[in-house]
Amino acid sequence: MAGKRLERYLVYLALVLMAVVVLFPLALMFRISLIEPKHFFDVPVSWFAPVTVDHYRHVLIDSPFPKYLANSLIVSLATTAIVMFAGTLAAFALARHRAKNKDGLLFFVLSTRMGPPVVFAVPMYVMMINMNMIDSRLGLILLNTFANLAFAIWLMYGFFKDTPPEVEEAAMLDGLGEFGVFTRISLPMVTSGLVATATLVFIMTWNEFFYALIMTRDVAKTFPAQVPSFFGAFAVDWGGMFAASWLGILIPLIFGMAVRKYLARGLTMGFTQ
Amino acid sequence: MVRLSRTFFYSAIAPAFLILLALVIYPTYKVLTYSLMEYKLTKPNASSFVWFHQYAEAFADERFRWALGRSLYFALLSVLLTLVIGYAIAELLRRDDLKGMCFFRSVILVPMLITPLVVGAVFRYMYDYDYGVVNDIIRRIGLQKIPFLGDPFWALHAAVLADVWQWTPFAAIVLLAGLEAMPREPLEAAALDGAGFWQTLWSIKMPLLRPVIGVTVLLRFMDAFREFDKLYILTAGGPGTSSETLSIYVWRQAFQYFNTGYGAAMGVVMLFVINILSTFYVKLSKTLQ
Repeated sequence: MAGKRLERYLVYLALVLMAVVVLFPLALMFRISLIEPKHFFDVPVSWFAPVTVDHYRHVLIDSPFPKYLANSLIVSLATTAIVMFAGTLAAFALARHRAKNKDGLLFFVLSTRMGPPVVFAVPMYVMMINMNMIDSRLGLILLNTFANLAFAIWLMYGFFKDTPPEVEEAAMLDGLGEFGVFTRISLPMVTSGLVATATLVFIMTWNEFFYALIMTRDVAKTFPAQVPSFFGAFAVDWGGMFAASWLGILIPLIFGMAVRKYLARGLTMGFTQ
Repeated sequence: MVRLSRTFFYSAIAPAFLILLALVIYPTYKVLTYSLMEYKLTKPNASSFVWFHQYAEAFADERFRWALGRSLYFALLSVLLTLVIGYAIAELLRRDDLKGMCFFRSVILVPMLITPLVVGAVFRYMYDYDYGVVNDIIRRIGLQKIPFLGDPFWALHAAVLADVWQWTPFAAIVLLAGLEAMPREPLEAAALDGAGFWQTLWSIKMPLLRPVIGVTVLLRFMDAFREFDKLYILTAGGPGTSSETLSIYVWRQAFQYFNTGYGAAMGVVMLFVINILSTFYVKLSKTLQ
C-alpha cells in the first residue's frame, strides 16, 4: 500500500513538473507584458513588481498593431471559409464515390502538403509580383488556402468515412438529389468534425509566419510578422513584444482548447482516431 | 454504397482541385524552370539559361552542404527528444485513476497552439546570457552560464529545445491515444508472468505502438526538417552560419540576396531530399512490420 502511495506522489510530482515547464514561458511573457521597462532585465524576474498596462496601451493605441490583428482575423476567416467550402465538397465526393483513380487523387492532395513553404515561396513571390499582389490580403489568403486545403480534405474525408452511408442511401431512394443529400443529410452528421477542422485551419492560418514575412509589408501584414519589429537596433522592447504576443495568442489558445478532443486526430491529418 | 453520378463527383471536387492545380502545378513548373536559369529578381531581364549549372554549384557550395546537414541534424534530434519525452508524458497522462488528470491533459495541449514565432521570441528572452531565466537556474545550481544564442555549438541546440517544448505534446497525445487503444490482455498476462517495466515496454508495448510511432515520426520529421519560424527569431542562422538550416539558407539566397534561380535550385534539392527520406522511411517501416 505504501509503495502504491509513493508511486502516486511521484506521478503527481512529474505531472506538476510538466505543467510548470509548459506554463512557465506563458506566465513569464504575461508578467513581462505588465512590468515597467526598468524591470525587464531583473535577475531573478521581479514577479511582484508593480503592474503597469502601458505596454498594452502602447501596442493597442499608439501603434498600428490593431490593424495587423484585424488583418490576421480577415485572412484567417476568409481562408477558413474558402478551404472549408472547397475541401468539404471534395472530401464528401471522394468519400462517397467509387472511382478507380480515387487513391491517386487522395495521394495527389497529400503530396501538395509535403513541400516546405520556403520552396514554393520562390515562384509564388514572382507570381505575386506579376499579379501585383505583394502586400495584399487576397494574396495571403490564396497562399494560406493552398497551404491548408489538403489538410481539410484529408480530415473531412475521414469524418465522412466515419458516418454510415445507409441514411444517405435511404434519402436518395426517397428522391432527394445528390446536393440535397450532401447539405441536408451528410453535413449535419459531421457537424463536430466540420467545426474541429474549420477551427484547426483557422488556427494554422492565424499562426502562419513565413508567407506573411515575405509577402507583406504593411497593408496586409498579420500579427506574427509584426512581432520581430520589437527587436530594435539597440534595444529590445520586451514589454511591447510580449503584450502584442499575448494579444495574438489568445484567440488560437481559446479556439484550440474548445476543440481539444480533436487535436490528436487533426494534427495527424486523421491517421489516428 | 451511395451512388454519386459522375457529373456530381467531378463538379464537387472541381473547386478544390482547380485551386490545388493552379497553386501547385504552375509553381512547381516555375520553380523547376527557375532552377535552370540564372535569374536575379533585381535584374529579371539579365537572366540566362544555364542547365544544371546551379545544381552543381549548390553541391560545391560548402554553405549549402552545411545547411543540409544542419537541417537533418535539427530534425533528427528534435524528433528523437520529442518521441522519448512524449512517451514518458503519455504514460503519466494515462493514469486516469488519479484526480485532476483532466487539467494535466488540457495543459499539455497548450504549446501546440501558440504561434511558433512567439515561442521563439519568449525562448530568446529566456536564453539571454545576462538576464535569461535559464542561465539564472544554471548559475544557481553552480554551473557555468552558457551563451546559448551566441555560441556556435549551442545556438542550434537551443532552437531544437524550443522546438521540443512546442511539439513534445504532439507526440504525447498521439502516443496516449495509441496506449489507450491498446488491448489489455497482453499487458495483464505480462504482469502475471512477472515481466519487468523495460521488458513490457520493449516486447509488448513497442510492437503494438509501432504504427502510431511511425506516423508521429514521419509527420514530425517533415515539420522539423522545414522549421523556419523559431530559428528565424532565435538565431536567424547565426552566429555566423552555425545554425543555418536549409530553410534559412534558401530564404537568404532567394529573398535577401534575390538569387531567385539559385534559391529555386536549392529548393528543388530540398524537395528531393524530403521525398527520398519519406519514401525510404515508409518502405522501411513496411518491411519491419
